[in-house]
Amino acid sequence: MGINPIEYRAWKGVRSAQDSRLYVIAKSVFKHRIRSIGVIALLGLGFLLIHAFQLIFTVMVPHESLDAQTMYDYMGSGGAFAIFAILLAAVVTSDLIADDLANSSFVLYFSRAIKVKDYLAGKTVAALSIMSLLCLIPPLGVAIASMATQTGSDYWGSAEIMGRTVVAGALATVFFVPYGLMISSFTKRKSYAAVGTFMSFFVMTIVAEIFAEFDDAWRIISPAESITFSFSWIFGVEMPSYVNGWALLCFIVALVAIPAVVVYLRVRRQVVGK
Amino acid sequence: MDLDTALTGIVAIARHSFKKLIFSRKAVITLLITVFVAAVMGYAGSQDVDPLPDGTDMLDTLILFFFMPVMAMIYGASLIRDEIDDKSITHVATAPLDRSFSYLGYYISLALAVVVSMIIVNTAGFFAFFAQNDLGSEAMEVYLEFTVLVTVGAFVYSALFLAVGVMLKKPVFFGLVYAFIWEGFIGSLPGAIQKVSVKYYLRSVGSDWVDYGRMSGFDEALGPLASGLVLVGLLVFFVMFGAYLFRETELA
Amino acid sequence: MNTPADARTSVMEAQALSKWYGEVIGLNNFSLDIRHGITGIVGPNGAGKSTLFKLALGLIKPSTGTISVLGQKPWKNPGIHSSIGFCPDYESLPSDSTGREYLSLVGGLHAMKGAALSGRIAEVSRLVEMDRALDRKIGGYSKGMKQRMKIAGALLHDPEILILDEPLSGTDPLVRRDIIDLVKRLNKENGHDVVVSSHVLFEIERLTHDVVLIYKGRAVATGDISEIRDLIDKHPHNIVIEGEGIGGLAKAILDEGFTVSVSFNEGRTGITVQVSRPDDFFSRLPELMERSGGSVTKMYSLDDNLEAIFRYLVGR
Repeated sequence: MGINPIEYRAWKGVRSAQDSRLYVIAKSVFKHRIRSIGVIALLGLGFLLIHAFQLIFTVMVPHESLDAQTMYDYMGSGGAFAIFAILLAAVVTSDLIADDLANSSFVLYFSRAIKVKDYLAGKTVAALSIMSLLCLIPPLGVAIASMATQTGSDYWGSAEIMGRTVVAGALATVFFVPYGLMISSFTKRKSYAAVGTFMSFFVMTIVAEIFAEFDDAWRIISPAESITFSFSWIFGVEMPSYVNGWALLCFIVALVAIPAVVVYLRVRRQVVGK
Repeated sequence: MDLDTALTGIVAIARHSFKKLIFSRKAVITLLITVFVAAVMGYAGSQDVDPLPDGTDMLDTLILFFFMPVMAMIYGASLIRDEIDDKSITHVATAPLDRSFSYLGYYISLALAVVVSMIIVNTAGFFAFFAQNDLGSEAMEVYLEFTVLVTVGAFVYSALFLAVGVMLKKPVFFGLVYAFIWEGFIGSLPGAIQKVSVKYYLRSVGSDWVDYGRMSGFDEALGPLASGLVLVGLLVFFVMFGAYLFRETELA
Repeated sequence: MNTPADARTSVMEAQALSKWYGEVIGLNNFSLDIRHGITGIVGPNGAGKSTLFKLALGLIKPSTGTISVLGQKPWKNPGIHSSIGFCPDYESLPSDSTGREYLSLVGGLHAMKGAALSGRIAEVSRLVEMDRALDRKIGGYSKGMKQRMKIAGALLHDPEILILDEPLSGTDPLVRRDIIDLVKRLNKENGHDVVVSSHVLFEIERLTHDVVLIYKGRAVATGDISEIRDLIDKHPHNIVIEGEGIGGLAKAILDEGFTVSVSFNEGRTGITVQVSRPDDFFSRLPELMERSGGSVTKMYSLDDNLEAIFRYLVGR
């Protein structure tokens, strides 16, 4: 082929605002992850084992209003809710940064007008969206179904409990994602990231069990137990006496904030260079 | 193929893989686990405990039946699988060495690496606990007994997870389910079902040696000789099975 | 030096060889016979070159048909690897090892040890000009350095036959020239047989005249490269011409004996001409333009590439 005139034409469309670019990333990641067999299986199993029974029970059994203890028993006790949330977070977050590290997609992202915070925000929004399908939307659905089928007239009271349910669901949605993203940023292999996330939570649980033989207050370092204690505070149910509220708050904030900072610094380092 | 050629090849692979395991980034995991176990057992040792039974229980629960299979899984499940995935297996696959011998080289390096790592962890945990309590001859006896158990367990679990790494494309997920759920849960159930776990046979051997803690009171134990033979049999089976699979695997 | 008897012996032979991966066909009823010397395997990406080499090395087994290297079947025959040196096209070097450690491993796998191995490592690394970088981590090597290291690994045990899968891919012109010179020296001075693959015909041209053209899993042509070059010139060419007064030019071209067809493009701003003798067409074109009064603003050939050759050969 000879040398031909370039037929490239300039694009004269309107560019979207900087802030909205994270939604492009979020949408792409969401669409990709929601098709994953692991995610679908966990969502399906989680819904069947945790939410479906509660939904049916709520609708069938007559009740005066939406009750805080009932919602706490459904979301908090038994630990199954927390275990599924941990598993889902491990699976959803495992490849979000690991895959980009493995195939050097940072070049693709950051050779465009995208900042590190946009990139991370996009990934996080996608992960939170999927987590909410297990942790927030089904409990909200149960709360709405309960309100819709209640026999009493105290709808304001029920609405308040629904609000607490939203807070509890939002906490469960957010709690495990930053840690999973942090582990994902440490490795190029998503399987290692998933295993690492799950294992670290499991090890924390084992340590909590061992240390609890000497002092029950150590139970707060188990992620599953700490979120359960948080639910009891949110729903106004009596918390065990050995739980120090401030220590619990510090632990929760640390488990969310520190990984978020670490992952930001790691991605920035990757993009900007050492 | 003569014996000298085969041995030279096996040693070359074993040396290279051992260095890769011990001096790679995965060694950070060994370090973290060591520090972690020392911290946990150190804290436990500082509490009001009955040293020999409680210390033995902690070695049993934390090291022998939790971190050892996990360590073997982390190192073993990905040793050959990673090389197949990134195609660095090419130089092994194109060597004039039967793949079964190559596999043996990988196994030797893996087993040694896991043994070394677990002895470090076991030693750190033991001294963190017992140094605060009772470091007499009985405690040292417990240390030696657990060192042997950890060594035996490392050889068997390494054989298992190396074979799994050749068999499956995503061996880490299987390893996770096996190490946490199968060994952790099934291996602890009463009755005959626990006999389908490596943990049961290790515990049976241990129950004859160790005089303290839950392990000494393991009343569903098979005899130590029979358990030992089963463990050896499992090791041989997993190594041979893995070698056969590796020989038959297409490395596209 | 090859004797006439050696010249008749096959280095690599395949008969009705097929390999498929599920529904994807890697090789399809493929036959070839490679003799001593340097032989080029040429084909576009996805043609089956790497599949052929993996079968030749016993990394994968044939679905049907046979393949033999130096008279032996490669699958589950590790002994044959002592006679083959392989340089793959993919990244296969352990990035955490130094070059020396990598070569020590390869040597150990070939039962080389001690001072003999150390000496051989020094010799081979000098040959590929990697002696100074031998103690650096492979992860820090450039692409050209990694190619050289792979070649060093292939040469270490002094094999009879070298199989080089796209050894020039991704290298700069200087490295490319060095590798080409090295391969030719290995054959001429040391008597190594070489089978080298590429998707770039002119690269192979610089190495050898004996080529096998492979396309979509089939061997479409074998022989001297000059015969392939003739095919490029002889096969019908499609040429696009755009400009002013194209109608008159089209009529003039249509009257010529080498013209197979002329068609107008959309908008009638140009024509696509199919000619049987492109050399004659190009030499006549200026006169035809002058006679017709047309002027040309753009002209290009759709077929002056290997892909077009393959399509033509397969369609014959």
